[in-house]
Amino acid sequence: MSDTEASTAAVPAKSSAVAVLIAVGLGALVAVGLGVFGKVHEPQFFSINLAGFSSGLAVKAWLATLAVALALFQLGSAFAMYRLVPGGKAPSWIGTAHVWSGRLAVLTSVPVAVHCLYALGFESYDNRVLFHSLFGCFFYGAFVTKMILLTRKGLRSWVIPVVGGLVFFGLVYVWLTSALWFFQTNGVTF
Amino acid sequence: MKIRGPIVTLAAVAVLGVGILLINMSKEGPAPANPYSQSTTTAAATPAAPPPAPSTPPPPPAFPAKADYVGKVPTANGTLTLEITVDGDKAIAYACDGNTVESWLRGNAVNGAVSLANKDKTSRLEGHLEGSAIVGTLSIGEKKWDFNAPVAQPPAGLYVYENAGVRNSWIVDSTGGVTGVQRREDNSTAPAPKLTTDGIANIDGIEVKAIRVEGDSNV
Repeated sequence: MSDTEASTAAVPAKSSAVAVLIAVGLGALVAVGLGVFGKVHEPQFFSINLAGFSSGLAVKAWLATLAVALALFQLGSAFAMYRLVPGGKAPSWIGTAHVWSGRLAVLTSVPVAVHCLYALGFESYDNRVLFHSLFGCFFYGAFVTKMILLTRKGLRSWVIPVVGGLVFFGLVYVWLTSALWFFQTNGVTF
Repeated sequence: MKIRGPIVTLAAVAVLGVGILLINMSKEGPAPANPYSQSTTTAAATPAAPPPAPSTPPPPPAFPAKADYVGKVPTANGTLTLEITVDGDKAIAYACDGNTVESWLRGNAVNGAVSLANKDKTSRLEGHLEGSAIVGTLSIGEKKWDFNAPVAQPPAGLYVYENAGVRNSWIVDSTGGVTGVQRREDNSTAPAPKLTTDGIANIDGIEVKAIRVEGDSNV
């Protein structure tokens, strides 16, 4: 992917810093915006979903699990792209695989997130629910930040890995506070 | 990868999210029962279709005339068993941990939704029908939990026996398991004595028959 090569190019640090600030600002706006929507929108206790599962919650838990599985591949392929895995050069397809698995992961998460925001909303009645709400908003904010940063060349080399790591962290915690809880209380059911 | 790639990804996510949201919103209120009929591919056929009958919203899910729902609510300090008895447009719910925690709630059951509270309004239950189960939230004091209570067939249900200021309350679940709490005159609570499958309990040495609670019972 182009961002790895661009990192070594000498560019004015100022414009790079401004780009990062703008990207973080937009991501923060998205995160706060989602949270506000979830808080003020009257929960409908209903949202369209996939057929074939025992309940809407089961659909969400499994879609989230698929997204996390893809995210784990994201982590692995990112390590390969940055040559952090033993064995030297990464295969040439790893960049493309990283991009498409990431797209698939985030698209998989969208129906789940819409259900959360539309049917349930931002809630804080216990710690699990509060942290899930916070991490859910954070995840999409961090995702927006990373997508915007990917379009910039000449960022400092640590910027993309750090933001990518935050996106991964966000998704994993969203999963831990929802799907894992669902499987623990209901068993691993479809 | 082209530099536009991430923007395409962002756009795809936004389009998918907004799309699902719009479909959801189209199902709100007096929308047609089938949202998929609005897709563009059927646009040509739409004029031929008779106009929908005066836009009455689809009937909300309704409770059976009488029904019992039993669910388990995992909490930080053990499991609460929750029983909701719906009778007409009234409902009674009882939640207990089989040890010291219990709460009786009552209220209305209309349009597939129950909204219950205990006498001093410190406990609340909000739920709605989803399929044949009631899902919602239960709060006792400062604590609040999600619950999912599937419909249960008798003898599953709610039983009570009250005498001389001592109230014994039991929930019988779908598998025949019994959870109950006894409350004495001084408001102290303890596990309720055993309840047999035919509703007999031995309270302080006397065999009594527990009364099955209906939605309009006055407990």
